[in-house]
Amino acid sequence: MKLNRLENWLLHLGGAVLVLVLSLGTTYWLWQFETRNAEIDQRARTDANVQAFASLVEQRMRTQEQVLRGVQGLFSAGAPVGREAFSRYVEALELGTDVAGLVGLGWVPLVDAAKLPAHLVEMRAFGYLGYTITPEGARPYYAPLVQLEPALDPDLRPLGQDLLADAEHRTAMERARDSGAVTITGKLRRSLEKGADTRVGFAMVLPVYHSGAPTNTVDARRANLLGWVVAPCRMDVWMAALPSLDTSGRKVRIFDGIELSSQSLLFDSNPASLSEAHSSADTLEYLHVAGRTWTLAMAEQADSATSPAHNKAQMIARNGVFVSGVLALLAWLLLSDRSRTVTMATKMTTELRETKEHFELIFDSTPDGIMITQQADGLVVDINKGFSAMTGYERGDVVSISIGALPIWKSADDRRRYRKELAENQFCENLEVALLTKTGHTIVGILSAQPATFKGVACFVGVIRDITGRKAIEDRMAHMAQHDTLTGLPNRALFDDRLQQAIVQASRNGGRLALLYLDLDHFKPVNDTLGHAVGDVLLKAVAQRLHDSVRASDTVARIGGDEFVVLLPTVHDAADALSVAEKIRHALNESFEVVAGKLVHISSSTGIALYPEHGQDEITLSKNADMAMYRSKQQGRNQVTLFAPLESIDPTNPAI
Amino acid sequence: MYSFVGKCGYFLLGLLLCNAACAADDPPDCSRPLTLALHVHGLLYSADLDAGIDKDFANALARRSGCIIQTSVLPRARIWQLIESGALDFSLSGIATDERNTFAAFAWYFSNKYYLLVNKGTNVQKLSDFADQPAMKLGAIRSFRYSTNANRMLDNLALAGRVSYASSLESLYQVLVLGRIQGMVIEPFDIGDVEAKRIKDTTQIIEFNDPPVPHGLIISKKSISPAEITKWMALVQSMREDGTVLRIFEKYFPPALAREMVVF
Repeated sequence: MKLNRLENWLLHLGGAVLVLVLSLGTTYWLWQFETRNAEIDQRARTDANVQAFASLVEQRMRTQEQVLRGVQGLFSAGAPVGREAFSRYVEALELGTDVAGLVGLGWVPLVDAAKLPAHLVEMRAFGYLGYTITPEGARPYYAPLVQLEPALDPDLRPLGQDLLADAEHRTAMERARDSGAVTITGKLRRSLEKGADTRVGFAMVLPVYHSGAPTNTVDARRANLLGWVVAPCRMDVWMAALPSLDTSGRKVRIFDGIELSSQSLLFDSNPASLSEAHSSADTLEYLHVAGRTWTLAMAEQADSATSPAHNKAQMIARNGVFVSGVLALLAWLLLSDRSRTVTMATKMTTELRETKEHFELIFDSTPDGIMITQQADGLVVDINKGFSAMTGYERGDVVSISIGALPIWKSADDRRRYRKELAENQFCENLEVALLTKTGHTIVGILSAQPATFKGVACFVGVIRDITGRKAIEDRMAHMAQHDTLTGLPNRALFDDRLQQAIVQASRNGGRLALLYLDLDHFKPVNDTLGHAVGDVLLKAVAQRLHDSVRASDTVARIGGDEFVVLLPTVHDAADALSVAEKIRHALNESFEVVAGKLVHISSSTGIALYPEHGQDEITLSKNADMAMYRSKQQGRNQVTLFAPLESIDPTNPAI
Repeated sequence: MYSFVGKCGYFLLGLLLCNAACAADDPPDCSRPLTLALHVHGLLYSADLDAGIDKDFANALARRSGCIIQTSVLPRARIWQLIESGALDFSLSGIATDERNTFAAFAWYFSNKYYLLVNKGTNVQKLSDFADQPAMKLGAIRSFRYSTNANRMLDNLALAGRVSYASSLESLYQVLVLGRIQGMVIEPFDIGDVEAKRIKDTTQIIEFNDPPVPHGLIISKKSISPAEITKWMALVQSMREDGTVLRIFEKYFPPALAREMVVF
């Protein structure tokens, strides 16, 4: 039993653990799914940001290119462009925030070494007395910056700087010259402005060819180059002016080329943060801008732990664990509850079965007959084996038949009593009834019935106890109590009772009765000579003759050894009584064959007292009849004497 | 009897030929300057040289149509945006997708296959080898679409955050050499670049098992009317039929390869 409990407990625990594992597994899967979705969303957002950012940079470059192409157009117009015209043109452009970060527009002519002296003279003639080419040195070509507009402090303008002597500029300028397209330099650590701070930047370069000269081939472009329009740019301002640029929550860096190093870093939206050149969290996009590659590195700086998507994943994880626990608990409760229920149901079923068996045992094993009948119509619903054994009727013989219609009632009176009891009291107790069995035998039963509900129907449960045997014993006992055991005649008690009743009856009717006292003559010698057994036989024979000599309504009783009394309850007169007494005397005078071949002759002395003449009560009547009988003895026996008033008896007379 | 059928055949053939020729004879509307954008892409167009297949095709298109076609060089992603918005009339060497078909028409003039260029050090022998190694990243031009298998691979890797985008192949070659990406999708007109940039020895080429994908003139449905689109398509068809397209491709590819690409 204990082992079973342990097994059950382990089983329930196992079920709960299984639910917990499944639920946690689902939670883990959902958490992973949500986390992955969050990653994909985050990636998509970053990707969209990168794409938008790249588009902004590209558009900004194109806007700026248009400005330079304007200058290119100015030179292509044909007429020589003087310093004044260049200045006015740039002023007219009203370079504003659209191209913020563009420090200015510069003109860089291509100067043949042979024409350098003339160039120097020309520039100095413009008032730049100290104008010279830097760096110094003899080169076949020079590309000095000769003008940078808008006009800032002249001292801050590095006029005369040979840009071809600078590697970064040279590459961009030669590429622009050969392609005819706008190019940008690599990262410039130093602004073109003399003395300016070291903020980084780049320069945009656009070639200008001789007006009308062919430019359809590289060679033609090289041969007809007039110079370059140069636009130095400060990267920080340039970036700040990008429309709709929002770097909040993300770190945006731009590198010149594909190298991700501090040397190539052009822009950092958040320089205060870790200055590592590149981290794996960066999304890299390689932008092809004006013939050069810029690497855009973008990293989301928002704490991923506080992002809504992450929060959702965390919420799923937290709630999932909680719900898993609750589910496991519920599962355990349900499983154990089910087990408890099953145990209870099993117990109840067992009890029910035992009760049923118990009931069936009682119902079918009791010798009493049980009969269930409907209250409404008296139809028999069921009977037990006891009923069948008692009456011989099987279940099929009686079920659905009215109890009143069953041929089991010996007397209609019993049936009526039974019905009446039930109708009046709704029950009956110890009703003694005589019943007929199927084979026609009579049995006596004690019938009790109680109301009950059987299968939802109001019924009476009747129980019949067979008392036929007991009744017979009782009858015999009662007979023995009132009769003489030897002769079977009523004894004194019964006789007294009948005498009393007869007196009452005679008194009520004004009738007359006679009481006869009879004593056998010479009985003692028979007893003494032939034995008591023969005496008993003789007494029995006397009793029979007495019985045969009177009417059925008369009573003969034995009240002593050889003393008998006869009650004649209705007589007209003394002669009636005397006639009967004489008849008896003659009958007893006949011989008795007490033993085979042995005849005995006896006689009898009889005294008669009449009611009401000789006594009003049984005592007086008895005494007077007894006295009359003594008179017969005194007068010689074998005679009948009617009581006569005033006669007295001599108790000393030896004849008695 | 046979003679009659033969005559009918010739008649029908004549009708077909006339269909193209007649369309070409009905020139597109040139009442305004048209815009065409090139993108830097191997032999299609080199900004440094201001030359390439697309540049030649654009010139031929201008000559044939008689229209003024203003060309500019833009990133490919920007080109698609402008075609969709109608701010740009044409571009070249475009392939169709369901999405693009909603805003652009295509006049095919060549087709080609796609290839995966991978670093030899990666030990990638087949396409799945690349996809199966999470550390490997693919380089791609933003907005480029390729053949079916290549697109599928690109989309799956993008979902896993394994794609690095660039707006030019030049950048991708550089980061491929640097090892920041391990592979990229290329087309026949990129082979020259691969060889020129001396990355041939360190890379290998794996074919996507897809049929050649047609490329064509991209026409913005927003800026060009359906009737005009029909004329431009007929014009391109006539350029194919009279050998103009083939001659352009033969400038850049061996004749056999050029024919394979143009005749499809």
